[in-house]
This record gives sequence, C-alpha cells and structure tokens, in this order.
Amino acid sequence: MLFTACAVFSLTAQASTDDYFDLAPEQLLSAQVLSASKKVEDVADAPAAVYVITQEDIARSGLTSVPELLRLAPGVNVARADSNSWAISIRGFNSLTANKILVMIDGRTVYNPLFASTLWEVQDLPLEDVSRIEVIRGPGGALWGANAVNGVINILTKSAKETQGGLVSAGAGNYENGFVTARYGGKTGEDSYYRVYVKSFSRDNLKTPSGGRNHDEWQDYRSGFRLDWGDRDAADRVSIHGDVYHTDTDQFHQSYSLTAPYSSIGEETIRSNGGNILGLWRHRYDDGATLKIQSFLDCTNRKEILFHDRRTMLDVDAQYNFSPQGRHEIVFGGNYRLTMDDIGGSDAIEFNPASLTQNLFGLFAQDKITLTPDEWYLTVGTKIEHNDYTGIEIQPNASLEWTPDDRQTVWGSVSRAVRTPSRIERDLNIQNITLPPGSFFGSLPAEIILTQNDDFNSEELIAYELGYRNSITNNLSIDTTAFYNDYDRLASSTLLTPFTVNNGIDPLHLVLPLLAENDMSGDVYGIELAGSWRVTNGWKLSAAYSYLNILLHAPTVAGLSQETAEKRSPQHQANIRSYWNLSENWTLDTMAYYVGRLPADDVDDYVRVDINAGWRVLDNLHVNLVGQNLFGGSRREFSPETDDNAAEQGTSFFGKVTWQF
Amino acid sequence: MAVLRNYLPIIAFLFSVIFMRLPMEARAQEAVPIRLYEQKIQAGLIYNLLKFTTWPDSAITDDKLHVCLYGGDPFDGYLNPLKGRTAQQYVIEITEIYQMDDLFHCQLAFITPSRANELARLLPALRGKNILTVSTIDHFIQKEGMIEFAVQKDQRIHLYINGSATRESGLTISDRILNLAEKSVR
Repeated sequence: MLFTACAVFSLTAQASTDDYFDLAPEQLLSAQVLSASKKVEDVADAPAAVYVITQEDIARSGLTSVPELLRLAPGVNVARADSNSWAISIRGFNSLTANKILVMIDGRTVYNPLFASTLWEVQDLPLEDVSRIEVIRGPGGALWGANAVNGVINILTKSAKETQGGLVSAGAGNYENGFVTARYGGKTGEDSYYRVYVKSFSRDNLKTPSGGRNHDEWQDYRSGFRLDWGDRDAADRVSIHGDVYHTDTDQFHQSYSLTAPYSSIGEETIRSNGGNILGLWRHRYDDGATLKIQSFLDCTNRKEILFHDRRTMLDVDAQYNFSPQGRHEIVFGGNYRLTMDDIGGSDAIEFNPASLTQNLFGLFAQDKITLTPDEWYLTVGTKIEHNDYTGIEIQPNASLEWTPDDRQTVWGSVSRAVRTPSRIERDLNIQNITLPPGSFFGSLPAEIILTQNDDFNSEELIAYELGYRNSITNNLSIDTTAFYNDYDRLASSTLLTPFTVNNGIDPLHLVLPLLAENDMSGDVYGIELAGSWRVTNGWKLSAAYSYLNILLHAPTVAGLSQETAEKRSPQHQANIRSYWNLSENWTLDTMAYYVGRLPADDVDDYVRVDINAGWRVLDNLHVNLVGQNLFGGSRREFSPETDDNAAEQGTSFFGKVTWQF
Repeated sequence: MAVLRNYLPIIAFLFSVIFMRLPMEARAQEAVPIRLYEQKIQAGLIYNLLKFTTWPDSAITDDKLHVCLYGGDPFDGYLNPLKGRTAQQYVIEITEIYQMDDLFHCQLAFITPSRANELARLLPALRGKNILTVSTIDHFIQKEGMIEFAVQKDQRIHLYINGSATRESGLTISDRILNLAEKSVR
C-alpha cells in the first residue's frame, strides 16, 4: 500500500527531461545530479566511519580469504584461532563467536542466530569477483536492524556484466595445499548477462603450541551463479544469484566423564553445507526515486559431535528511496524474516525447544535533510523491529554532517543499537561437562551445568561518534573517527552457588551451576585513523591505526566474563601497506600489520609482514608469488595455550597463476 | 508496550517529516534548477565532447566516431540513443569493450571506475594514439587521463581537462568546452 502510494506520488512530481542530448554543455554542468540510488550504495560519503576494501586491495594484499582480508580495515580485530576459525570483531568484545557485527554478502545476512555470530569458515566466494568490501564501524541498527551493534560488513560482488569471459586462477604452497577458481561470464540476451563459478581449496593444519600437528585441516567446495538482466530503458533491473557449498573442517573434540581420566580428546571433522538463492528487483522512477525489493532463501546445515544444526531462513525486504523536490532524501522500507531451525543435541548439550520457528518484522525510515546547501546536513532515522524473543526493539540514529569545502567533512552521530539474544543464550542447557579434581576447589571432580534463561534480554548500546575526513591533496587523504560506546545489559555468565551431589550413581561431585544473564555494563572508547598517499603514479602507501579502551562493570559473580571480554581485544592495532609498480609488468607489494597483546589469554603482540610479487607475463596471464608471516617465527593469535584447538602459525608461501580469456 | 510509549514522539516526528512535507515540497518545484540523473548528464557531456573535439583525419578510418566503454556501460543505457546519430559529419558508434587491445580503434574511450586499477598501464598504452580518454575515476587527469567528470559536494558535475595530454594525442578540444573546465592541467 505504502509503495503504491509513493509510486503514484513520484509519477505526479516528475519533471521529465529526456532531451539531455540537446542541452548545452553549460546547462549540463549546472544541472543538479539526481542519484538517489547511488546515495545508498556510495557509503564512503555517509556520515559514518566507513572503510572500503577495494578489488585493488584484494588483489595486492595477497590474502586468500574474506576473514583475512578484514585485516586491511582500521578498527577491525582479526585473530586467527586455528587454520579454520577466526575471532573477528570491531571496537572490542572479540571472541570466536563475536556477536556485535552484522555481515552481509550481496544483501544476504550471514549472521548466524544460533551463535549470534558469523561462521567465517563457510563464508567464501571467488575473490576476483568481489567488487568491494565495505566495513562500517559503529552501529548500523537504524538501517540494518538488530545485531549491527559495533559494525556492519557488506561484501559486494561485481555485476555479471563486469565479469564477462573466462577466468581460471589456481595455486599452491606450503600452507595452501591447493586452490582453484574457475569462472565464466556470458550474455544471454540484449541486456542480460550471467556468470557461473566453481571454487575449491584445501588448507593445511597449523601447529599446536607445543609444536605438534594440530588437527585443523580443511577443504571447501562451492559453486554459484549470478544473472543480471532488465530493460534498462524502463529502468528495471533484476538480479538472481545463488550458491551451494560444502566445507569440511577438522578439530579436536573433548569428551567428559566424572571418573578418571575425566576427559579425553578425539579428532573429528565438522561437516557444513548449505545453499542460498537471492532475487533482487530494482525499479527506478523518472524523478530518480527507486524501489528495491529483495528476497532470499538460505539453508545451512552443520554437523559436529556436540550438536547438529539445520537452519532455513527466508527473508523479504523492500525499500523505497526518493528525494522530494527540495531538501530531503528519504528512504524507508520494511522487512520480514522467517527462521526455522532444528538443533540436535548430544550427551553434553541440549536445546529446548529443539526446533524453533521465529518471525522478525521490521520497518525503517531515514531522512537526510539539507540544512544549508553544500554545507550542513542532518540525517535522522530509526528502525523498529519485532522479534519473538524480546518483542519490539527501536534503534534510532541522528547524525549531523558539515562539509566546509569540497575536501573536508566533519560529522557526528548518536545512535542506539541492540543485539538480540541468540538461541544459545536463550535455549541452551549444558550438562556433563566436567572438570578434573582440583581444578575448581577441593579434591572433588566438578560438573558444569547451564540452565536456559528465558529472561535473557537484548544487549543495548548508545554510541556517540565524531569523525573527520580530509582529501588534503588529490594524492593524500586522511580519515579519523573517535567514539564512545555506552553499553548496558551486556551478556554475562553468572556462577550460582555450587553444591555437591551424591546420588549413588555418579561419584560424589561438585556442581557448578551457570546462568547466562545481562549483568554487565560497559564504557568503551577509542580512535581510528586511516590514511592513503599516492606518492608517485606507481606507488601508493596506505596506513591505519586504532586505539581501544574497554571498561566493563559487573557484579563479582559475573567477574569472569568481565575479565575475558575486557582483555580479549588489543588496545593498539596498526597496519601499513605499500603497493608499488616496479615496471609495466612487475608489481611488488608489502604489507605489515601490528596487533597488540591480549592479556586474557597470554597472547603476545605481533608484527606480521607479507610480500606479494606480481608478474604480468601476458596481458591476460598473471603470476603472483606471496610470502606471509615472513618474520618473527610462529605465534598464537587468539585461544589460550590450554585450549584443545589452540594453534600457532608460521611463515607460509604460495604461488598463484591467473588466466583470463 | 511501555518501551514503545517512550519512543512515540520520535515515531510521530518521523512520520510527520515523511508525510507532511510532501505537498509543500511539490509546490516549491518551479524554483528548482534542472535535475537529471548523473548518467544522463554524463551522456550529454560525452555527446558535447564528440561535437567539440577535432580528431586528425588520419585517426578516423571508417567515417565513424567509435565510443568505447571500457569495462562495461556505466551509463545504464542512457548513452545508447546516441547510436547512429552524428557528430560533426561522423556517425556515432557505441561499443562495450573488455579487452585493452580492442581500445585502439576507438576515438573516445570511457574507462569505468571498476577498471581503475588498470590505469597505470592503460593510459601509457594509449598515449599518442588519437584517443580521447574520459572517466569518472578520481584524479583521472593527474594520472595522464584527458577528461574527468567529478561529482562534487554541490551535487553538480565538474569538468576537469588535462590539456597537455590532449594536445600530445593530436586532439583539439574547442575553447567552448575548455572554458567550462575548472581544473585544467596545461
């Protein structure tokens, strides 16, 4: 109804000017640019802390996976826990299931509602087909809804038209056992294009902290397609994309008992697979207004000894974007998401209910108001969502932007964002996880139990941000942001009063009852800096630095969660990258990354140096030689040494050949 | 629902912004200057470049002006109506090009931003070839490109011209256009 009403409006308000070829050059240059649809896509101009990882960065960094590429963005902490798992967060709270960033691939959310995080090991695609990765630090709840608390990552692929022809890239090295991507793009009609791809890789294990062989090898197989078509004169565009994948990741699995030896370690292979299909229809009205309707279906399946998760998500999203004549740029829309899951437990864990169907409804509106043309802009917006766990959630945002001249932008914003409970936080019950005698206190073995908490609530954030961007010269630009985040109702684990059990079946033991609660609050502040300098035509330098300080407050019974959350994100991070064109056919790129210490798990700070040498053998044949972690020996980036799956990585090399036809 | 009540003023404000404003803004329409899609403005400018640039006779082999869109069509089809129209006495031809080698027969090469990473080898290869290079890539003229369309904060397209690169390629752009350029590298 709403959309029909707006469509009617836009028809009456349009001023049709089709004879743009008859306009004098003076008239063209003084015409005001209408590009409402571009506004939404062009995040680099938004009053927010945005960093864009470009295709150039992807090609020149020598990094081979989406999670590793996020190292390039300021303020993002990427920690590789083992060969196939990553802890990735923005502005603190890092963990293997970091829960405050929302990740999307071409508009499809890959935020997993079971863990409230992203399973990075199953998010992959041909990196050659990625157009850019937008990393937005700070809350995005007003546009994207719940769980975009500390940031949003948008991975966007190129259109089928931009990936015409064939591409084969393949390589291998001492860690990369082998990888291959094959893609072909063609035309199906006047205005319609397609591409199909297959990609596969096998990556080796890392080392355990004691120098042994870790059990973390993995293999990934995937295939997908994209179709883009539409009668461009009618301004309708339709895209359909889809992917299927299968990923096998190895890990150590611990089993428990209340009698000696209390625990034993075995090896297992986690099998994950899934498929998704997404359709997007965009209609542009003659006055520049756009209507976008998108729907996707995403099925995932993950099977490990501890649990088996089957999940189906159906999402429909519509947004309408228009600039009524004058000073407003308005976007509003609604969405609905249906999630159905079925989680099989094991001896140790159980979900109650095991199957759940959840509905999510959302409405949002945003208006960018020009207060003074070319100088002051005010953006206000909010998203109102209803989810089955916590009911209505409201996430407003207001930001003010000042552009004193063409080169500088100053902006400030205040926003509220929430993270809604995950299935784990609401419905998980743990039993039979034991600790050997002496590990807690006394000489009794202990059993940890967790009972589901149906009152677990959303985490809440009020964020204040201030940013400044300056293109000082055409070759030198800087971008800096300062923020203060005020969190409330943060997740905490509370240890209730322990008691002993002597039931005649199990040996006498201590029970440690845990409860997931919202007992923590926090103050987090930091600054982020990014700069780039094109020194000469053939040499570009980029650098980034971020500082973070986390202060959490929790009652002593929840002290454990406070300690680890405070000390699992580095205070200082920096990187510097040099892209250097040695000659017509040779490039030499050097990247250095610094990540500060993580006191919680005794992880040392480190410097990582990568070098990527590229040789253009022929116009369509490229060869790259990449060395990663070149100096400093092997190191542990995340999990404590005592973790079953703790891993250390050392130097690795690989060669890669890319052929286009 | 108590939570909702706290936010009612915000919701009311937003709805008033969206719905109350519309009729008022529609009335203000006459005062607004020409407003066009960015793609239409750029397409119009391309047409003007074809009209006001002189190529050496030797550069035009088949009585056509070939406009090549390197890396695809960034104009969303808005340039296509030019196909078959004439500029000066030549018929305009528009082709999308994906291989660098296919560029050499073009009179005007528009480089899409997705190919920005190729500029370092693309532009030297085109130097002295009687090809007018045009792009929206930032700092295009500093990288030896000839014509740059830049959308600035004022929501207008600004025209930048690298005069020396144009002259080196044997092309002459009329003063009519040169005088409109804001930043010419001479």
